[in-house]
Amino acid sequence: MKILALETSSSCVNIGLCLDSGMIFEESLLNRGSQFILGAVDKLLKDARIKLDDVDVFGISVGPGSFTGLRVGLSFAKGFSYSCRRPLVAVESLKVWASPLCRKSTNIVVLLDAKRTCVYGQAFLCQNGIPKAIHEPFMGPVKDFLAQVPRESVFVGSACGLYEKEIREMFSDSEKIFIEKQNTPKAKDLIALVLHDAKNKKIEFNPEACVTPIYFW
Amino acid sequence: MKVLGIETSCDETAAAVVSDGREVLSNVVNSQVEFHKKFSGVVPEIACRKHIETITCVLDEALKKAHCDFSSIDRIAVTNRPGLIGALLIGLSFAKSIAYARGIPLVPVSHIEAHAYSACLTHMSLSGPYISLVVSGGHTSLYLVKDFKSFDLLGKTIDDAVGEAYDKVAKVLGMSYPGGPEIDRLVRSYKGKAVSFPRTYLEKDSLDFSFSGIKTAVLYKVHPPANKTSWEKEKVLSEQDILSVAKGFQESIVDVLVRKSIAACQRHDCRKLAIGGGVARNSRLREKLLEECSKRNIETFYPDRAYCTDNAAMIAGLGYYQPPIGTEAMMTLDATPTI
Repeated sequence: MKILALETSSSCVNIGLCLDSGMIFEESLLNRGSQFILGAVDKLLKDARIKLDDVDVFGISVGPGSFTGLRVGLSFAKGFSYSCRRPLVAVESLKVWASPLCRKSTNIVVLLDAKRTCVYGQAFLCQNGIPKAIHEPFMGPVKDFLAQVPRESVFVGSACGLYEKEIREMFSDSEKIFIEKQNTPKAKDLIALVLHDAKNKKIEFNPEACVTPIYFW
Repeated sequence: MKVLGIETSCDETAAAVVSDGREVLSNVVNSQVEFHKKFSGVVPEIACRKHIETITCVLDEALKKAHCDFSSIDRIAVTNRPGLIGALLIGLSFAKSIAYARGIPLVPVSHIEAHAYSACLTHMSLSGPYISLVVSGGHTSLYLVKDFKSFDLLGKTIDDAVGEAYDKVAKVLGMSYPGGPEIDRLVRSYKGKAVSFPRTYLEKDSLDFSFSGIKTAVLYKVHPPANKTSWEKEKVLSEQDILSVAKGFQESIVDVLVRKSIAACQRHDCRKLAIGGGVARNSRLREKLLEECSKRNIETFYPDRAYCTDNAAMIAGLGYYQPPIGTEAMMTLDATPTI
């Protein structure tokens, strides 16, 4: 299955293209604006020697994250999906953050900085390499959130650096805390999640589907 | 030639299909005015959220109403300037992705120039040279339109737009949003006296506008400063007071717009004046322009009501006359918040 995935929820835009063989092409736009997204898509397609019409499914990370980044990414994704008449699969960004860590741990906690001294967080349990949320996303003070996440977790997300002290304090008696330094969610992880969705449920092109970003506020 | 227009520069999500620049096959506008009402003005974050929710459905409806699919669209015109940057980016990114996917040439269009063009959708044979007065919530400009490829900007507001002044004055007077239609409606049936407010003409011969002063003048009339540091306690205005202030404000604004429009026509020896933008619906402006223009043998052209406020038909219409950009330039085309 050919998947074109746009991950625009963080400061670094990451675009991935997966071929039937499972081979993945990636492009990153570090500190470059939305105006270069189409150029990057074009490059990926040329590198892979396919056309946009060959893509079977479009994947988009819907946040939470950068408000404008999410909307620009989604504008492109909606335009591609609508004009190629191919399904658009939306994935929560927290899942994309958690996904690559399923190789390391069964408990993963994603923590994003929601500003106004709040975190946006969610804990995941890995099952067959796919993160499954164990509760609804949490929004509030970091300490209240940390009190309810499982012990022996791997922590990841943009707020981990900011709240490292709080995390270490909360779990000082546990040796098995690990804080992952990964800075941004990646398109290849988004692709893995889209692929999983495509295998496990029926996905169809629906021009009336109202895919919207998830916002902190 | 069929042109698909896409417009998201402010608070209306719009798509339209126009044939040969003049014949509107469909014109779909999803207005967000209800969501901005309680804030008495457009909230950019709310505008952006609504655009991304509805843009696909708006486009789908525009194509269906025009009985079109992408194979019969020859060109896509999109607003890429000026406007709220976050809002512009949604329409532009959406249009770019479609143009790329379907291999359709893309034309970036200026929102204000499209307003200056909008009367041509109603008056099929209107062509340049003509003077265009664009009066809306975000813009107040005078253009000399020779052909539709380039527009000569003769003057613009140096601070606030006329529609914005209407909204703020309406708020000070306790009226509802949007303020323009509300003030127009209430003043139309009021026959009493008007408060006299100053007219701002700026320097002699200037075709620029300024509406920040009159906002302050209205505010001070309603809430006079008791001294330099403290404000007089809010006093309850009678309905009569409110109407006389509203009327005086409208007279002042309309006088400036009419005089500068006529000055522009005379300076460029033009006998045609087109008006565009939401404030083009204002009945007092129309009345006064008709009166003053007919004295000077200047003909006035208004767009239909649907093409006064923000819409994509004017974008598609103007996009027919302007050249598409090349593939390379299209790839990196960006939105610009200013003119």
